[in-house]
Amino acid sequence: MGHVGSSLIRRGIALTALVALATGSAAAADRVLKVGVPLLPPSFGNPFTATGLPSGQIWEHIFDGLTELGDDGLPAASLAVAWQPETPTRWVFQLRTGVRFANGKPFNAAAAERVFQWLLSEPGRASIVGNEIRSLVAVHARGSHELVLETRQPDPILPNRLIAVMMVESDAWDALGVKGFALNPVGTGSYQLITWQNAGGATVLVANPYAWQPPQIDRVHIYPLADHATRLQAALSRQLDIVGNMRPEQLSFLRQRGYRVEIDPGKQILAIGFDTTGQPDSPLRDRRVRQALNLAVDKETIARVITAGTTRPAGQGASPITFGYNPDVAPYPYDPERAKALLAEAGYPDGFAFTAQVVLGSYANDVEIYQRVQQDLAAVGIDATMQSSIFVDWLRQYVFNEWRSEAFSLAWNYLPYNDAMRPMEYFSCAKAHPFFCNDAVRQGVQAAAVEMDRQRRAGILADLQQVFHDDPPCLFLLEMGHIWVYGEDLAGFVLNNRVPRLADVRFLERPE
Amino acid sequence: MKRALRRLVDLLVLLVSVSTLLFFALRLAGDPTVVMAGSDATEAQLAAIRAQYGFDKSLPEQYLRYMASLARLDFGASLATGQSALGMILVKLPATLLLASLGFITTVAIAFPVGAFLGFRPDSAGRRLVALLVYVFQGVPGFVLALLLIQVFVVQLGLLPSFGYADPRTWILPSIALASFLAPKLCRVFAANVSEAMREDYIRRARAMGATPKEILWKEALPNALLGAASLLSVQFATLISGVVIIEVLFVWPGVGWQLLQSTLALDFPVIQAFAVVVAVLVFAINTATDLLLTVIDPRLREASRP
Amino acid sequence: MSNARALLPARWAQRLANVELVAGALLCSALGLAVLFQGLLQTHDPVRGNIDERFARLGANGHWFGTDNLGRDLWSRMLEGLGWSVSAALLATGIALGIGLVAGLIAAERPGWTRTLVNHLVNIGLSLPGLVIAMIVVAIIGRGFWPLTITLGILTWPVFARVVYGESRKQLAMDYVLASRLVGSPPWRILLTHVLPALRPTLMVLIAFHFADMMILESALSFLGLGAPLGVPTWGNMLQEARDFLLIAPWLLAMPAAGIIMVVLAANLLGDGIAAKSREQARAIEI
Repeated sequence: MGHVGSSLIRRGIALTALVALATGSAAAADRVLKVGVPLLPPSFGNPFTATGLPSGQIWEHIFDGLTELGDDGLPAASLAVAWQPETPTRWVFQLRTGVRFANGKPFNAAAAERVFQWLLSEPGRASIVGNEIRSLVAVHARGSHELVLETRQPDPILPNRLIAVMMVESDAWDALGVKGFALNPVGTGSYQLITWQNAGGATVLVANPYAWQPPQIDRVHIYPLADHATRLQAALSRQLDIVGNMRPEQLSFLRQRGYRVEIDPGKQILAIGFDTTGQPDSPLRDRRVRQALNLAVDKETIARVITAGTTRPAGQGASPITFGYNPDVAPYPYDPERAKALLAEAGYPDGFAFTAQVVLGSYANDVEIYQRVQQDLAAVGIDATMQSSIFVDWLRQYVFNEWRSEAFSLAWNYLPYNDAMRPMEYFSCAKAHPFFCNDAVRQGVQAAAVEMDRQRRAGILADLQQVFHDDPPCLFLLEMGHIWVYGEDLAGFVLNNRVPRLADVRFLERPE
Repeated sequence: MKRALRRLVDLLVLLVSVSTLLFFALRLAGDPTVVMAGSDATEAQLAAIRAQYGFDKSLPEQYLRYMASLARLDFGASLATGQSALGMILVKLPATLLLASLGFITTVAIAFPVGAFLGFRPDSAGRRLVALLVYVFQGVPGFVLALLLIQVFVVQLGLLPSFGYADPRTWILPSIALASFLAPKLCRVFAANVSEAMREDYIRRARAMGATPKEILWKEALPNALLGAASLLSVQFATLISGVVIIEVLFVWPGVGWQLLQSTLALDFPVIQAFAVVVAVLVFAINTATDLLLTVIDPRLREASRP
Repeated sequence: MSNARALLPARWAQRLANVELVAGALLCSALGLAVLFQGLLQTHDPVRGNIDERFARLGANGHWFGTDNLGRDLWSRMLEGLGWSVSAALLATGIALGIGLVAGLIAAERPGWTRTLVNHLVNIGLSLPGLVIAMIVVAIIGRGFWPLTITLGILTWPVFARVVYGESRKQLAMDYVLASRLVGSPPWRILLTHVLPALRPTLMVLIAFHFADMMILESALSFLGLGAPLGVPTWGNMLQEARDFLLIAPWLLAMPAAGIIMVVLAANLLGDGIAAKSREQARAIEI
């Protein structure tokens, strides 16, 4: 029995080796790039239902916008090669020539116009992307590769807004309908989508035969792995080539097992927002109290210890890469004594209690960060309860500003616009149901919204950061980026707009 | 046949009450439109979505429409994806059925040999050791075992994959983890059945007529014990489903359990509703089928397995 | 399972029953004492930690079981979690027992539509996947001690109802019960004086097993994020949190896992021990 068994095993090994030899070279060329991400776009391939992550994880690879986010943080050429305002309310975009959609249909001004016409229609207006470009009133093609966009009032960041407007192929869009197109999206991106879920649970992308930016690797499998733990396990057992949204603690183990680490520069700002309009008795209505809270939390230690140096303390609405950032506004220092003094001045020498509803698990380390914040606040006499809330519930309260608590977790970023104005609109009376109102902020936002001169606009936004800092609508915590890891046997790994540019990634010949 | 009919009525009552409860739970959980419109929603957007989904109608009217569409097996669109809720569940059902079958086969493959061994062999040190092991394993919750398996075989040793289901190598850990939900219990029941069957009168008679203990085990004791164990499995099918859900979550198995957790956390009621109906029908089908099968095979059980 | 011991020689069976009972009782009372004197046994604050001491190894700096990602003492957290989970499981068992007992007795005493209704509910309840239903319910009504225990109790009462019903029917058919009925005792007195005492041994066994099941369900739900509120150091929550630190601090997974296994084993031992003991006694009485 033993002999039979071992000889069988030997034969098996020999056979496997032969097969490996015969198929070795072919296997390298056919190798599939395996990517792990937390979540797929909930609306699948309908790119008008969201602007940020997780949707970008897929859409960035199958669609292009007229513009994209450049490495300098400003809009860069994509399907449009150049643009300028003819008048303050009329922009002209020169489109790239020779571009085709994945189904072979040409991309030109007429094709782009159809996309914008849909966004101007009633269902289009109701979509999230349609809402983002609500300043748009008319669009028409001028010649085969020139597109004219008219806005209601001057919109200096229209090219930024267009980063989020993906060009879909309108024949397919019309023929399949919104739901059908969502399952079978057609764009001009480097890849085309074959299936949202193959037998192995992966979303499968293959090279778009008509791509104007052809990818290096022909086939990509993207796995939605919601838990960090499952992504970590998959990485540790070398099942994936690229993994997104990792935590900082165990990166050294991942390096040992053959991964490199990349942290995206598109910072997210993590904070705890204060409801200063809906809670009549909240101590947080007092500016001094809000300043005291900002002084009471040791952000340096949180950044250094909890996030292992992958984040920085935040102290204003913008992050350094964002247009409108003010380099002269420093984060609040850690000064519990001054915090206590401010609290006493505001009439709370013994502190007070408040509740914050926090959505957990959205950002690496958020649980630890909130708990550490709780501890720091307790040290100055403030009893903060961190109540875990599910996102849906949080969202409902946020939209209508009907909070059941004095504070809430709040995180924002500038993507896809990378312009400081956007969050300021929402953290001001410009929001339909505001949680914070400061007249200076409102006036500044209104001025910045229509200021076409870039220099002056940067000045307005920078001044606003100072206001935002001095009269804080939130407890500023950290600027954090997403941590990605990728195999040492990959070359060309670059993050753009928080997502790796898969088209540029290639396998190294001899993975060592 | 009459029992099958009675169960069908049970099933219908169950489906109607679950659907009704879920409908009112949805209202209790609040306005779902915000989820669809996003954080920057305007009033106009919200109103449009409410009209589109009929949330602007009166509650009784909404309820009647809802039940009417359920009767047509139309569960509506998922709030999160806009795709058909039933479709989302049915698409993921094959993966779940595969996992359930693997778990079932592994359960049986572990429990029957070990059970037969325990039930047949006379009192020996080896037997007691195995019995003790089985006893300890009965105290290990399936998801804890799954975590430990992942820790050892995936994280520490890097031997086996931790997710996916295309490659049979990915089946190993989930099958073992799922088997741990039922295998120890089945093992003990089976052992008891075998030992009892070995003492029954006709076996004593067979023994007197010169049959060896092994022959008796294979020809008489095992088939009888199998019948008893099969009815236990049928009763415990619900446990298996619970196990499938948590194992799918742990191993990112792209089945309905995984989908259920995502939809539950997002309060995506149409999908939860579709899941509930699919699982209820599944449980009903399995229970009824095993019942009928058993009563056909063994007339004695017609009395015994009646609740 | 009930007759697993039948294959053993009587002498062995008796000794094993005693071993089980003694081991189960010892373990359970040790755990009970740990719950009662939780505060005394804890060496550190279970909720607040020193972030500079995060991921301390076993035994380091007076942390017997090491510390977690926030520098909180794992030993103290284990004790805190034990108290939470045991109370939740006990209460859920109590609720299930209460409802199941009443429903079972009523169904046994009253033929007709009441019995049909209870039996249908029991059948439905037993064929439902409990974890799945609990997930949905908790998602809707929210996490927390009371939502969780009440949900678990209400979901699992059919387990008790079925046994109570079956046993009570048996008792109600006995001669002495019929006799006291003829004498004119009201039904509730018969149930209280004759049926209930006879149910006691069976119920004790069932309670032990049910408690173990509730422990598992509670920890599984917490693990899935649909049980105990976040921040409460229950073992299920701790297991979930531990998954992010599998390499840097494997003890965060090992300790709660061992804890759950120990409690479930203790309850199983006690249940099996009681069952065996009462069978021995029953046999002794028959002889």
